[in-house]
Amino acid sequence: MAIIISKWRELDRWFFIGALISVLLALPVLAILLSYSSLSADLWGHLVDTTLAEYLTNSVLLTLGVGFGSMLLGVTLAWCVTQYSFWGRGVFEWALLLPLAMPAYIMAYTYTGMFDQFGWFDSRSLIGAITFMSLVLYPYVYILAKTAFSSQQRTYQDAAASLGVTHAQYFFKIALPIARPAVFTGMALAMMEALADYGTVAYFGISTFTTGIFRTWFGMGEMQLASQLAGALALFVLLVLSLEKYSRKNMRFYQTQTPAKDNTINTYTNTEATPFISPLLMSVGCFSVLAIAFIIPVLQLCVWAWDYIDISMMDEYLTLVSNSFLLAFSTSLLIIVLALLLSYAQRFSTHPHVSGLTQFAALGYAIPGTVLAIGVLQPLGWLDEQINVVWVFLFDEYIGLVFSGTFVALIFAYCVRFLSVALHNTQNGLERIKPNVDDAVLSLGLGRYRIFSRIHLPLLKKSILAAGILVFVDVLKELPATLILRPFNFNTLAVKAFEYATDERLLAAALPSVTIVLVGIIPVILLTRAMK
Amino acid sequence: MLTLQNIHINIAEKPIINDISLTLKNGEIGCLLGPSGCGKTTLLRAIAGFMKTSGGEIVIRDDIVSSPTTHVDVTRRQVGVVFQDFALFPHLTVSQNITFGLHQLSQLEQHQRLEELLRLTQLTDFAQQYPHQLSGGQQQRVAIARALAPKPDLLLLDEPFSALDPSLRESLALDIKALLKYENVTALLVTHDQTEAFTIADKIAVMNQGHIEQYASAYDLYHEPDTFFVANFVGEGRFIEGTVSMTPNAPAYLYTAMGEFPAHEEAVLSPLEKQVKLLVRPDDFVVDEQGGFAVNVVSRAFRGAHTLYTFESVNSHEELLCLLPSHYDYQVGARVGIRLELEHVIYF
Repeated sequence: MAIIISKWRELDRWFFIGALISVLLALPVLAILLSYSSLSADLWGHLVDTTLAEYLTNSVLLTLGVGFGSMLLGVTLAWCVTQYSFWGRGVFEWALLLPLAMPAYIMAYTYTGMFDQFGWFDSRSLIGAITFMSLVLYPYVYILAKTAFSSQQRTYQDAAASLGVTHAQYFFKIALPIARPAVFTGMALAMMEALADYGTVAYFGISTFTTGIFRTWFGMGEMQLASQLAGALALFVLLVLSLEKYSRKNMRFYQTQTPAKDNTINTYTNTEATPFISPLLMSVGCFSVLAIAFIIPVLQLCVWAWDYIDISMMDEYLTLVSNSFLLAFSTSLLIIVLALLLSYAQRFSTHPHVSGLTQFAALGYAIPGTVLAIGVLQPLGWLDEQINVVWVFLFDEYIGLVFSGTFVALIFAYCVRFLSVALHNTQNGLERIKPNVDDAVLSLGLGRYRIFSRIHLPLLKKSILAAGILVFVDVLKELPATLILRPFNFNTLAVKAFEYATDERLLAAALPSVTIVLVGIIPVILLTRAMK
Repeated sequence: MLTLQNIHINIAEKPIINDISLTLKNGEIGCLLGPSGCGKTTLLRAIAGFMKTSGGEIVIRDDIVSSPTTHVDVTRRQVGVVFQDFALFPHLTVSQNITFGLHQLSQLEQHQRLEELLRLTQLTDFAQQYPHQLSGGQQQRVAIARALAPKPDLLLLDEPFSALDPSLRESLALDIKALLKYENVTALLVTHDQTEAFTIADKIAVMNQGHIEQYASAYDLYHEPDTFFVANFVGEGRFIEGTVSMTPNAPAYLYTAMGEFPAHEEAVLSPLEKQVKLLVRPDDFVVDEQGGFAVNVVSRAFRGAHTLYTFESVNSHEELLCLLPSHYDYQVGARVGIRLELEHVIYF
């Protein structure tokens, strides 16, 4: 009996920890929701009269455009790479993921700068934004479509052929419909990124929800209205997210079929499939996308960076690097601890709502950085006010901002946004360790802490490392939340690159930009490793 | 309907199919039977048009579809194929799967053909379901209906029963045989399971290492195998040592530890003896406690009506398989007298 009670208390403790983390991370969203408690008819009336329609059309067009563009690129490339053999296929297969390392805003000002330099044309337009974002976001669709296409049973193709269907018809009638859930998921990810983008649209001067939130907060000083706008944007994201969930719900069974055993004869047919595009064209096409979306801008950035090194001092750059790396590193550590705690809460707690809880905590990845920043500032600002009231009462002096405007706010925002990235890794890693392993250790007379240090930690090392790297790079690339929440006079690579670019100091922007891109390649390499 | 003439197939320079010839008449059900790796699936894929041949001709109806100079694409061969894993399209309903190959027909014709096939395969109630909602046997029937829908003259089936529960295979095979006969389609099936082959096929080609050992009915394969491989592969049985003694102008005899038997006549100029192996099937024995040969019971497997005994001959220590009515109840280690009653004397 005593054992049962102590066990029950232990399990409940895990649920309590999980609930605490989840509620904390949900605070910004709650703050946004609370901002709707009082709606100002005047301000909204003014907004509706002036800029709201523009925000709405631009955001919607941008999202749909990026969704469509990344689908077109991602699906076509994935189909070629999985179905045909052509020159360079083995390299393109993973290299086509490289644009993922390129933040859209860096892509945008690099090309705009190049075009200006040569006096070709002005790419500062909605079409330009859609194009550049599609070029860096298509890998989301590409990687999911590629997995979907290559896991489809080879015999589908044979069956369709024996029923008189050509390879081109096969793509539209069988392969694409079966891959549809995967393609939708990829598109939804790309569209959410597009909705959340601040850097590109701000640089191009396009009025969208994200730039609108900035303008309302900083320009007009209307914090509540900005929060409410942020809420509207979050609603859009939620819409994309639920559409994706819905589309998958109806089609879950597609993936439940076990793929056929790969035998040599089947792969033999596969290379014989007559493509409806010539192999040379495929090589050229893949290379062009890779060149435009990665090689050319990176080379250009390198050239600019090289020119800049000559004329400037390295001190500023080194400060930026150490600031950014330290921030990213400490955030990664904190997030890994949170992710591990949540994963273990899910493993040990028997509470019926524990998995719903962790899923809830992971929702933060969908919240645009701008929205998140507003959501973080409001509760922390209120908290600071209360602390100061108390402090003044006790000590008769102000202590200033404790949370907002400090690293606490910034790291808190990162935690909300990037926890899911880490959680995904730690959860998968932990799930791979079967519960009877724990039982085996316990039966050998070792305690719970030993299970963690001697069994789980060594087995989880890879997952934790992967989670850490992903979070590290995401923090390094993050722009809008950092821009809003960073402490006064504290700069990161992303912030400085963006500020230089907005000031049209492209040479100065190049060095931090190229640093972000090069570090960003690390998780892409991890991804390609995982694919094999 | 189908003629294969001296087919050769190489994959990566390695010969997989070696000089195979075979014909199937209209409405006949043929079978390629052989152990895995014998090339039977490769041959089937070549007939379907999924791969090219290296030599020889494949003739379907009266058209040469594969030869060193021609290769009619699979999409234009009008050959139905049923795959081992059924390859049902998971995003289409049963109806949509069945009508998938009917894109050239009008809506009305498609509908009529669909109704007919649903009725024949007893799938009418499942028309709007998706493949993953069906049992294995139902999925197989959808696969066959889909392949039959465009009324192909030739239907190819690649291990159609291997994904199904063994206890169902025989009854399903009979259903399918009836369906194929009703549709009067010529069919060629690939399998490694002889029970399936025996149940469904009119003629069976036993394949081994890329060539056909024997192409005959099930009865002939069992009772009159042409080669040692066929005798060993088809049915159960054991070989015992024997000596054939031939003298000019006299009947030949086969001498074994289990008695002597008439041997095949061969014209010889001088007396000749040769060592052979005699095929002994489990049903070639009768119990004869007085005049029989003594054997010891090594093991026994009760099979209901019969018991399958493994005996060891007391004289020659050769192993024998023997199927006896189960009212003979011998324990392991017992000594029994048995006699060989051979209807067909098969030796190599």
